Amino acid sequence: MIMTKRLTKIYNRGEENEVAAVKGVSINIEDGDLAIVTGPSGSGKTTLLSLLGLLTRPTAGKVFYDDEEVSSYSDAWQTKLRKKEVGFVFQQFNLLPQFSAWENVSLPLLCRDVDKDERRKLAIGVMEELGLRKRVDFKVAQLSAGEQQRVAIARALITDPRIILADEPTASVDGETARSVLKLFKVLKEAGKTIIVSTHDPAIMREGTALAELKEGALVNYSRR
Amino acid sequence: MGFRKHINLLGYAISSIFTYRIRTVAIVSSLTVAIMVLGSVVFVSDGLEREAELSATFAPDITVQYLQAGRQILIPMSCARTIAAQSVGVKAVPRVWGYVYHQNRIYTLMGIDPEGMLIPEEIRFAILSGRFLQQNDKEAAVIGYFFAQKFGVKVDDILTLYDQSMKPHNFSIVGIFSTEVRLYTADLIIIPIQDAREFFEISQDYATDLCVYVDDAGQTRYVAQRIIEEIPNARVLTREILKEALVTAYGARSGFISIIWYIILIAVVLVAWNHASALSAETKREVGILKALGFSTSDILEVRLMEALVLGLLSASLGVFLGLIYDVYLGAPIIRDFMLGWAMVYPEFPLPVYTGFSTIVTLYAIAVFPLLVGCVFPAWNSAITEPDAAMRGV
Amino acid sequence: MIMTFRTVMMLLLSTCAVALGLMAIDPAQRIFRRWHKADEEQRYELEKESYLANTVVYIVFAIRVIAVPLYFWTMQSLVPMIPGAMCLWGVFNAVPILCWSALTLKFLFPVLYGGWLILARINNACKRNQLTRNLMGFYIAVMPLLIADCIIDLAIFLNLTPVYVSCCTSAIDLGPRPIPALIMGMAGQTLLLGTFLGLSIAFTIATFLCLRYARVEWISRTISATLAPTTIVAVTEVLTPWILQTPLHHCPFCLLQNTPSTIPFAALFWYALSCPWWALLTKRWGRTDGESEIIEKGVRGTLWITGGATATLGLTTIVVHLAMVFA
Repeated sequence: MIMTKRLTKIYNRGEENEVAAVKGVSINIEDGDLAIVTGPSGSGKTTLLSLLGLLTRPTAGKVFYDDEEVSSYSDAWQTKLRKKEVGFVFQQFNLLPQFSAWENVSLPLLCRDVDKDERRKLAIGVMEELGLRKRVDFKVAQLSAGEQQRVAIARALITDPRIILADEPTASVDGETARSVLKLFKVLKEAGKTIIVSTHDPAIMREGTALAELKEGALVNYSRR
Repeated sequence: MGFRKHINLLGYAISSIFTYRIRTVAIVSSLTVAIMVLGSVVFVSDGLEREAELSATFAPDITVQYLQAGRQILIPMSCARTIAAQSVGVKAVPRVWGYVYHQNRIYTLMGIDPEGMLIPEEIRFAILSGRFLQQNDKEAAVIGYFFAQKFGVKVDDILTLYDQSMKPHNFSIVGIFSTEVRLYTADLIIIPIQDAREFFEISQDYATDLCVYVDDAGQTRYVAQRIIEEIPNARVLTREILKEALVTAYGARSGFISIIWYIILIAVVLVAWNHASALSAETKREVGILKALGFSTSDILEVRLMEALVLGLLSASLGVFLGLIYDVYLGAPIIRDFMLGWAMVYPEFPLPVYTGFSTIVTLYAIAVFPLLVGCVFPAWNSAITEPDAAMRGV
Repeated sequence: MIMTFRTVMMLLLSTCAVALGLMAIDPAQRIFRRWHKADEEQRYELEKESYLANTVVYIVFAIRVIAVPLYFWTMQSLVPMIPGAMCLWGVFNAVPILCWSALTLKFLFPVLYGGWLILARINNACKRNQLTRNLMGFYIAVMPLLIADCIIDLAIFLNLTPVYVSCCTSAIDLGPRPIPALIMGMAGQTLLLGTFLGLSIAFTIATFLCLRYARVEWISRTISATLAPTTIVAVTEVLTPWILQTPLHHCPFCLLQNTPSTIPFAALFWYALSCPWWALLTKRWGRTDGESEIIEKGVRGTLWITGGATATLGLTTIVVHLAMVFA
């Protein structure tokens, strides 16, 4: 499903502050996996997720989606693939403050042939499933951290992606919200989605079907259950 | 296919415009002023050119004046006979005209022979009320619309004019021109030629100039050439030359203002560039998020350029609208004198304003394209933000 | 210089096009030089730069396309200001070398940029933007023409003065005609019209056949190359006098001016005659591997179809005009 071969990412290549964020990582994530990426801070978790989600180019190595090498695709084609296949949940939520909750959720639909009424309908549908029906027209500043996280998750799900990448989804929320996020991930996994999560949360790690442990950018352990 | 997506991106671009208000106001206000200035000049220039063409329609095929030491003097009537004798189908009719001072303004008092002169049909249709002069009229006058408005006179009223000896001459108003010919008739009072001779004390042997009519229009240049050869002191003006002189004058004036405007526009584009270039961390983050959510680099470029397009269209629309208000309702106070060139002594009349389709298109084009040019590099700079920036919180 | 609003605006648009065109040269040459040597990450950086070049080219093309009708509008507006001029021909004669050169470029230039846009379309459809280097190379090659086109426009409007000119009648109606009045017993005009119609029909058929038979492509191109000058001569010698019903007047600008419904014929034929050359361009520079070859083949097919369709439409337009004259 998603495979990497000796994936490497070096920032500021050739400069004094050159950093090898990911070094020679080779992993294989199957369809329907709840794959966990873990490691200390600065170990390259976020960078690995960026590489898997085609948000950045590898310095060396390759990324494969269903045996098709996609890391050398043009920017336009990677965007097409990302649009179709991948949903992101960011650590900082990354909601746009000038828009309401439903408008943030429907942002991925703006670059598609979906009109405004349909976008709102789809956004409300997803928000209802996440218990956000009463927050549809609220501005971001009016939402609690837990609600913002759920809006971010709703945004990742609205395009019904096959793959969901979540960067520390429970780091900035309370315990109850964290539990509801885990519950949601389990439901999505049951529905056949492939979920890749970078986390330190033991509850989520326990549910993982594949575990990749990074240290200083290198893969120190990769196991499957 | 894909049409809705572009509508969505346009909606996003418009919301961005409202988000970054200061930048929007700076660009729109400066560009609106620039377009307003240019548009107001061009509308007046086009209006005057159109009026000039209309006026030239009423002119005879050839106007012959007599010069001495380079200045116009009265033309002997023997010249009319010389011209008429050239060939069949050529007719020379005298005209007696001069300037009269009336209530602190200068007007043109023109004496014509309505029977002898070939009055174009257009001028008969340009009569608003009353009628044009007829063969047996005496002490009758046809005046312009704005003259009638200004002095509150109408058909059958008496108009008293004073000659250079301060002797009064009374004329009964028999007709009033419509506004269709405002430039031509703004300062014009037409009377029978005999009355003009009495007013200006010009004998039957002379006229102010001669109106030459040629049956075959294709022969006009040839006839004009012959007149120059046979009457060396003559200044010969064909209708085409008159029209070209007027159109050139008004066109050149608007061109001069355009050059000044060109300079203003460069400043506007620099303002737009400066504002668009300020790629704040906030903007970078926003672009990174959008790209992570599926927006392509082309989509971001499209959004940024649509912003420029919308700003350009909005500014052009406001500028055109305000330019028309300035011309039509305010009378173009600052540019009027420059464009007319002689407003100080000539009577007032509302400025002719004309908005042609090609002029409007050109105004929009020169509002939009330079703004697009100024925003291309900043738009690209914004669009190539790495989507990775959203992940890393940069 | 004759300073009017329109001439100053033409100067502005030309200046914008030059400024933008020059802005894109640096990234274009960098991409052209480094593309084939670059690794994935470097290629991505070059790809980002190619967005700038592409955007600029699209905008420049838009400016130059808008500038074509604006150029004619502007020149038309100058007719009263040039003594002796009665149509565009007269205005062109005020600065003849520059104006006639500009006219040629205004037909040639959009063909080249259209070719670039078609290649860009193929490139965007490829997963790895395999044609990026070719695109940049083509742009660098075409740049001098863009600069020349803009500089000529600038030179025209800066040098245009109200000199006395002869207009179309003395330039094109007097003197011997390029075709004899009688050719082997037949009227020369009729023969020319027959040649024009025959070549147009042959071109249309050949263009449609190119969809199935690659061998016919060069036939289509040859006919296109022959048809272009034939069309110009036919318009001047036959269509203008016949449609305007002025047997002794041959000025094509007068035809376009007095019968604006013939303008679509000019546009359609221009497009149709450009298609075979665009197809050649895509065949030469639009294929670098298997993927681009498949995409290019599809695009070339579209060109043949649209070329044939527009030729048919253009021909129909002119036949309808002639039929109305003789009806």
